[in-house]
Amino acid sequence: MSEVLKDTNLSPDGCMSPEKPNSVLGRINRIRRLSGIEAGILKMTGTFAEFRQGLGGHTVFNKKSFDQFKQKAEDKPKK
Amino acid sequence: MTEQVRNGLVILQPTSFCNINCNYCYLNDRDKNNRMQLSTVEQIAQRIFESPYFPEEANLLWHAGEPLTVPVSFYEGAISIFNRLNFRKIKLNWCIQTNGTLITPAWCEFFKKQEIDIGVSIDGPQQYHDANRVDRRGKGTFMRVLRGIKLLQDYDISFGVLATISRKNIKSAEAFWDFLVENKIVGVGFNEEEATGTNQSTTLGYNEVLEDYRAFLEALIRKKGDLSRDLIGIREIDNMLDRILQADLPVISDLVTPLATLSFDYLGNISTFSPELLGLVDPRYGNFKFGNVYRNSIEDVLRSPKFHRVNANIQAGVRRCQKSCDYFDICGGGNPSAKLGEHGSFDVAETLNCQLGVKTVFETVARALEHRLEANIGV
Repeated sequence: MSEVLKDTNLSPDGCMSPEKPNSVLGRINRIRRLSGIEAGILKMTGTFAEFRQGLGGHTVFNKKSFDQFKQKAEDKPKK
Repeated sequence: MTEQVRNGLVILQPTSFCNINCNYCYLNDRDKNNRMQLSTVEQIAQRIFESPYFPEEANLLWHAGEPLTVPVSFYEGAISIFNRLNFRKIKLNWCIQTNGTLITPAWCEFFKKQEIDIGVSIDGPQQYHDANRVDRRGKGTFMRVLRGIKLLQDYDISFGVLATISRKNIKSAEAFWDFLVENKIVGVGFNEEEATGTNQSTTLGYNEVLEDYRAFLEALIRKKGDLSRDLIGIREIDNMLDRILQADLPVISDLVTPLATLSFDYLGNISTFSPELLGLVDPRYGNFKFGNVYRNSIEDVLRSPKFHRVNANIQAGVRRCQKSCDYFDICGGGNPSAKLGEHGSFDVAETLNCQLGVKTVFETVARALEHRLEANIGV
């Protein structure tokens, strides 16, 4: 990217973009586009209406992942 | 506010006492055998059930000091009280965070019967764990914790582990992963050692710490093979992945939202924001007890002058974060106890805790995603 466009809201071709491409939001949006999230290809895992930060600090575990782990272990062919 | 905010976590401190004496512990009264009475549990339960902040369910965590130094009968009594007073039929999710050294068959039977989620604190393989998690004679506790973990597994009880990252184990990622696999541990979360409470400084305050933590997380992702949470869930990676993929949702941080996290000590004192605040005393603010269940409802906290002062400073700090930090949209405003511990004020933005727990985690996970998507590997 040219020095002129660095730290602006302009994309490399000079068009306006909603965020700086190398900003956190710019990178997130690019990942979402590439992964198909925005097109609904990748399924969302969250259940809350908003994303909550802070819950994880003191609780680490949920039974669902343990049950999935157990199921996978049981599904593996026995040698 | 009641329509916007709901409680996400209640932390109940059944005792201030801990049977071990970790080098990085921040708790003031861990050598005092103070215990919560069942009459206090009853008051807490009443306050929770009359509060509008618990619309459907409550996550209740027994934590700090060591919960298993209090007999099983206390918890049987406490859960029975909660069930009896639960006139609104709120779903109660019980959790215990333990150092694992006191787990017995009797505890396992209780955990299983009450379907309690268990978190065990262990810092990885023995040489790393025993470097910090020691008993009062200075002896490592690893073998005692591992015995507790094996008992949980014998009883088919699901559990995860919490590990504190310090300078002692920050370069141990590969050994850490092998340890998780060998011991069939399926969920891990990492807390960075913080300068807070009686732990006045952190061993993580050295120059290359961010590079070391990034290398630690990258090594775990390499070992994991992909970013899914199959087999072993890594809380930091899973949460960040969720946040990136759900970036169109607004972020709300429970650590800076009044009443979103509630902490109760053995006397029924109430605190909110970062759970660590409940045990702290600060020259500027005094303590962070905003009420007591024998005299106050949970909503009374919002009328406390001390709460107003603390909240105003915390929200000023959040605004600073919003204004100055590119990572605000994935964080929501930092951790007040880290701000206070590192800078002596809530009205600041960046901390080491942010640099490690938000920025480094984001950079590592985002780079892994970008690499996979560019190589067309898929998420």
